[in-house]
Amino acid sequence: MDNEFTYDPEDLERLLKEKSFSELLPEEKAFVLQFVENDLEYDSMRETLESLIAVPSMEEAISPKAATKEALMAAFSAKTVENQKEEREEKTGFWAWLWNTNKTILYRPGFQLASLALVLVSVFYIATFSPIDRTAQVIKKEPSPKESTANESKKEERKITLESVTEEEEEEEEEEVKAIDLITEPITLVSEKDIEESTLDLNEAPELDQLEGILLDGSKFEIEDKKIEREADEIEQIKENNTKFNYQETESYTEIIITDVILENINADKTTLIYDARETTGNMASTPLNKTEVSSTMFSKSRNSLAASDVSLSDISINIPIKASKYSSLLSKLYTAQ
Amino acid sequence: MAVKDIYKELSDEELMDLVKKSDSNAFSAIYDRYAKMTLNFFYKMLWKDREKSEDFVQDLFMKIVNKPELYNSSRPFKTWLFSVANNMCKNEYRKAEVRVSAAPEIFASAITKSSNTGDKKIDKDAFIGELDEALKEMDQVKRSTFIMRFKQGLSIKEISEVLECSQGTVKSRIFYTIKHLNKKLGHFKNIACLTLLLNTLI
Repeated sequence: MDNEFTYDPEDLERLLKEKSFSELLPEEKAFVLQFVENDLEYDSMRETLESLIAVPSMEEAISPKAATKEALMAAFSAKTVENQKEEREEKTGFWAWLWNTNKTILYRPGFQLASLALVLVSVFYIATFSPIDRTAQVIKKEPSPKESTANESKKEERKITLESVTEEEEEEEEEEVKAIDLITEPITLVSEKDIEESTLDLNEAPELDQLEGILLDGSKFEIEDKKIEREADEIEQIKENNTKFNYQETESYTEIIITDVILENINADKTTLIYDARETTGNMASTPLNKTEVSSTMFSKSRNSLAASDVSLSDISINIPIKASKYSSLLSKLYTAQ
Repeated sequence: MAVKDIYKELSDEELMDLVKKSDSNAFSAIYDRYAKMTLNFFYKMLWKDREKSEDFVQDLFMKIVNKPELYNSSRPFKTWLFSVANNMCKNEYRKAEVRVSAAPEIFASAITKSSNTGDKKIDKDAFIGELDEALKEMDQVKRSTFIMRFKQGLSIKEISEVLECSQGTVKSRIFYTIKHLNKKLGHFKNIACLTLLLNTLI
């Protein structure tokens, strides 16, 4: 039984080389017979092994061609030259100078240049940064594709309606064209002074989404032809009275929409209405002046406050002072809530 | 003492360190030491195709030329070299399998042609021919183990390092290879005696 622990199968090669079956010890025989059928097979394997060991001497050994070595030596020389060239470049090249590993990091030109660049950028940033200037800037926003499409559709509607006007009212059409031209008057940029004087608190604007919904939904409004004449007259009046406004004349087309409405001093009779008009291009229109008093009956009471969304723009326009904004006044007349 | 003689006395590992430093004499010494051995290894492994074996030797040493750093000095160079050579043979076997599946008749005739180059008029050559045939029937691992052991003279330890397996596994493989060959070549009973006789006469 101990034989299993004394010998391993791999030791058979040693036994085959060294001993014939008859020379094996009894325990070796017992071990060998676990792997071979009988003594004949063992001796046969022994002969085969001897032959296999003798084979290399029987076979002719081949030698490599001289050309192979020559080619390899040439390749080795070429590689050596290439390596030396690379090493030379590594030692003398720009990058080796920039990041010289022989020096400590503080003395490496690359580190020093990077530090200098960082300092210069920091100084420039600090010198040019001014928080006041930044807050005074008015962001000029381009109209979104959605807004542009909506405005174009409005213009189309307006054109169609205008074409339907009878020939008898040609004179009225001319005035209407004047009115449209007035709508598309150039943008009035908000000055820094205006912003500082503004009392508007946009964060407190009530039901803005609802109001915008009314204002932007073109289907709720239509042009009232009869009012055009009166509007033209008022426009003339605005031009005369409002001479202190110096609007820029450009050929760009723009429209005004009222975006925010804030109610102040609410009482039984009158309510102060502060509203914000914004051009479709995103520019605010004469913000600090858009203030007027309107009758409180225009609003419906909702809880403890008045709902600005119930404001009828056509009604508001009646009481808006001329100086407030001729654009918003005109707009509110052109679009009447259905 | 000549410079080349000095290199001859250096160990493989020392020579490879010099090769890494672009010493052409060291590379030449390494080549002289192993070119013939690896050529015969490839020759046995690759169906006795002389041209292919030459190409393989060149490719093997080109690896040393291009990337000597691939060799890790902590490992014996000889076993590393045979590991690379053995892997090259493995790849060639894979390619051969593809070729056989693509055009079995052409490939079979090529192997037969290469293996029949020996003269079978006497028992010695017949024995070698049948041995080659028997080796072809073995799987690649047993074949390479056998060739490294009995034709290249590598020790069990070296073979185990080349094949990355235990020495016991190598010994066991060798035993079962002998047993298999005994069945195939058992009728050549007097080949060892013949070999001894031939060697004596020569």
